[in-house]
Amino acid sequence: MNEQIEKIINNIEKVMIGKREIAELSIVSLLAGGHVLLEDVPGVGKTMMVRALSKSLGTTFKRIQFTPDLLPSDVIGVSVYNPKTLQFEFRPGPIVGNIVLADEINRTSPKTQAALLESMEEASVTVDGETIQLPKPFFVMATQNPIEYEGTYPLPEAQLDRFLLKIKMGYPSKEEEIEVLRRAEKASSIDQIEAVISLEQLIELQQQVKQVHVEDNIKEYIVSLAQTTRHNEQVYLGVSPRASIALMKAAQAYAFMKGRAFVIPDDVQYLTKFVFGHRLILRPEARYEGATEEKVIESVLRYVPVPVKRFVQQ
Amino acid sequence: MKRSGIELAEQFLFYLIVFLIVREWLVPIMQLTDTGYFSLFSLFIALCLILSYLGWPLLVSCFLKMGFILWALVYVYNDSELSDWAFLSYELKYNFTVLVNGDWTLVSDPIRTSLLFVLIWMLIYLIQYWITVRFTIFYFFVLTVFFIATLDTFTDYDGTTAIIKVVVLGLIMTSLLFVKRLIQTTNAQLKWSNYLIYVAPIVVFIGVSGVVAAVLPKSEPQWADPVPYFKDWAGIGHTGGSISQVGYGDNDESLGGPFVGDNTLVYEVETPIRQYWRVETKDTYTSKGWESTANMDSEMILEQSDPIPFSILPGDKEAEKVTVYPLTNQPFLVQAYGTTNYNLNNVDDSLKFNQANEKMVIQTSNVEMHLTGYELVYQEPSYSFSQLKDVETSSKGNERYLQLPETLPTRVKDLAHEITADYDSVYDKARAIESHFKRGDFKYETTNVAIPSADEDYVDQFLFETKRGYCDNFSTSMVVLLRSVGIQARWVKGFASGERISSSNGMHWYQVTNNDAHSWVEAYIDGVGWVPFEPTIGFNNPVSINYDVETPEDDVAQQLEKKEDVVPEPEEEDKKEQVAAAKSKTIDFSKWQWLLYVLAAILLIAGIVLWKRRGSWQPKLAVQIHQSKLKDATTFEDGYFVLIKQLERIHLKRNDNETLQQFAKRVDAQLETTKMAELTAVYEQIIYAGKARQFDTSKVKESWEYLINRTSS
Repeated sequence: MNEQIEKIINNIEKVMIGKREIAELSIVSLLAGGHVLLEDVPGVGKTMMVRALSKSLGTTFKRIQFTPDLLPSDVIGVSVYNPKTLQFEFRPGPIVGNIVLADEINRTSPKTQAALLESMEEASVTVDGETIQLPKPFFVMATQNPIEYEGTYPLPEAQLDRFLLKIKMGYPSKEEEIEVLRRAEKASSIDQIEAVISLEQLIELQQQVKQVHVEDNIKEYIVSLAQTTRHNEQVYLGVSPRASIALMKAAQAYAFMKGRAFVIPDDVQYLTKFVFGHRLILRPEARYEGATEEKVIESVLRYVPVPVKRFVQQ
Repeated sequence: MKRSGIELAEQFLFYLIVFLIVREWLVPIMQLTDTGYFSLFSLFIALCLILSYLGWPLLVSCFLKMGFILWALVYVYNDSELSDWAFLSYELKYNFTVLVNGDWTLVSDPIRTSLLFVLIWMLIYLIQYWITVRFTIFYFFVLTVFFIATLDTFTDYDGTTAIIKVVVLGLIMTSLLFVKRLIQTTNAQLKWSNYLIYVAPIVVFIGVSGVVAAVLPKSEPQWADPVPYFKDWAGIGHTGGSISQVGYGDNDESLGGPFVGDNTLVYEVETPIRQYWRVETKDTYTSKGWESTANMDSEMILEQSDPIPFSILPGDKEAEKVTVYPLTNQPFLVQAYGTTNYNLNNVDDSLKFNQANEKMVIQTSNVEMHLTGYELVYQEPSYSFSQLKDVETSSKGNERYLQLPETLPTRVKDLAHEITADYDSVYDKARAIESHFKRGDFKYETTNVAIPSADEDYVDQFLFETKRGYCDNFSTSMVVLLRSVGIQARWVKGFASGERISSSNGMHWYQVTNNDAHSWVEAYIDGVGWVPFEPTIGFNNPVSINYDVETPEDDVAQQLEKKEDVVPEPEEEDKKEQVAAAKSKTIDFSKWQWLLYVLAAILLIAGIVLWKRRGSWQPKLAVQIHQSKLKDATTFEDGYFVLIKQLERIHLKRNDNETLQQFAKRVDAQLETTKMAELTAVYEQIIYAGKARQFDTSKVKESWEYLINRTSS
């Protein structure tokens, strides 16, 4: 495990109980320059996670609570006329920050969703013809309620594709929940944690992740996995080549986090469900028969042989 | 390693038992291949075992064994005037030339014998390994039982007592070695008394049960004798059509067509040697079969004391007696080669001899007479090899024996000249024709045999078209070929030697059945007389040829070419005397075939054993092969997969969708180690990290060897 990352995770664990995996995956996404979609019911600690991460990194933390009546300008900002200078001045919205928590993203209208997702993809916002670069690193953690809930606007597939990973929080175990209560009894612990890594160091880490080696046989493995999803009979729409890229980048970050300079199939296997899960569209009939994205991905992983020899171009 | 007294005694016992078992191998080999000097080979086995027991240095024991082999060769073979060394060097030179020329069949007997010695040497070496290192004799034991059982079933070797001996000895040996293994694993120090307490009950138990089992009365075999049974079974479905039955008959005018066997006993005979039984000859070939010019005029009545004017003259060997016990009504008396006179039971009976076809019948008023048996006295003729080789021309003899039908196709004659072109002497020409059948793609067959149509020649059809048939095809063709090159020849009918039932006091009992009815060839060589030849594949006529030549040439070298043919023989259609119970078809277990089966079986068993025991040798072999490697990425990759393959054998198979780390974890959990993970980490670097990294070869090797050895069973 990379030492600096170990520090961050330990720091987060001070406030988050039993969520080490979520913390790890969030950092993987952050290092790979991607964004995370957290899907779960309210109240399991999504916000706390983001805040803890943000504090550990010593970055600015912004939060946008999405509601049905939220407008794009509420997200990206608005130009306001300044009587003193006799000019319109851009007042940045909450999107302009290093770590942004976009809460309940599927509660707002598609227009506002689109505004957020565009800025995520471009890492910039454009208002009145003026383009403003978002600060680096720029990392969005969006949360959404499960789509079965009332009053939700499900995110279109093309937009889901912009999230590197989709993670489910899950409820804590009994012991963990007791521990949560124990800590909540006293003062809020989030205030006690401090930054363990500077912004510059984080950018340096992001650069290092790009150096992680991906051997051809691993690339072939990733592509085989992606292609297999396209031929699965339960799947209506398989994952895109963008998903293959995403899986490779995530694997690089994960390998780096594990202190390795190269990606191994274990990295890929572990990350596949987080990367591919939200990019698959199952056939409705398959869904009725009980198929889930996770099951499909498991079967794909069982089907594709792991590369154990050096890659030979066929 | 110093051996204690008890170990010495124990090992002596082992070697003694091994000696007795190996000896049982030698008996049938000697008997079936008619090899002499049993005691020499036994002595050699003993020598090998003693040297191994004494544990003398390899060089010394090699030297002694080599010395023994050379001495034995000289002792057995050198009856020439050459000095021993000259003899050996001559042999060496001769065989070297022969082998270099690729004439494998021409190697001389001393070489064959020395190969047998070497084989025994190897065998003993292997057994020594089994009993002193592995402490197990089981495979050898099973192999021996299998060997003896096979020979007992398929040849006339009688393994009744041998099998009991081998089983008892083998079981004792197995149990002694088991005790030995027990002692080894516990590292116990045994005293004499303790050892006896372990061993004595086993030995007593096996001995007593062996003896009891041997003396208890036994029921008749529940299964039919497999050979006739299978013959019978194979014969099913060939009942229709014009199928002849085997047996002796008079009418040979139209030969050909399939036949079924008939194992009705014709007679039993007590004889000092295995030999063919002549009945009559025929001289006129009709292009469909044989006729005889014999008629009443050529008949003569002889008293029992009269010398019989056979054309086969008695040899200068001692007179021997043969007793024949006919079991069916036969109108003829059988003849041995070199028969001088007959002693019939009834002294008043006389003999009727037909000079033209040399058929001998009893002239008697009592029709039942011949059933009581008769005795014939003969002096086995021996042909001088040098004399045979000397004769280069055939005198214009009796036209009868040069007769050929005018319709005989010229290609038959052309073939005859082609075969004999390279030879000068009559004998060599005849041998060349005889071996022509053994070289070409001729096949012995009884079922799918053609009958020549009206405008076809029987011989021509066989030589050029069908190439498959039984003795009539072969012998008739040879006679025709001989006559085509001007050698006088005739067609001989009679019986092959039959099946040996028992032996005692130098006399052998043979049973001759209708299946043994046979035909062969006699050629006339000036100054020597009529010499028998045997062209039929799978048959062997025990002719005594005295190789009285200075240097061995060509197909020289055997004193007596003898071998057992337990082969039934065809004859012809509807013979009234024949009993209808037709059974067996021919299977030819001739001289070397059984050995082939045994070898194949041994190979098969060895293969199975090796496969079953691969756990014990594959890892060691793998270590030997890869040990010095594992230096760079490529060899390491090979080594890693060798390891995975070996792990598979102990039920640690990597699934295709399993990553190496997951697999390594599983392996390590199973073997309670961490070496697989260490090794896998290195391997991952090689295949996933882009460039081959440096790794700690010694450590890798150590882990790899450790794991490979863990897979060893």
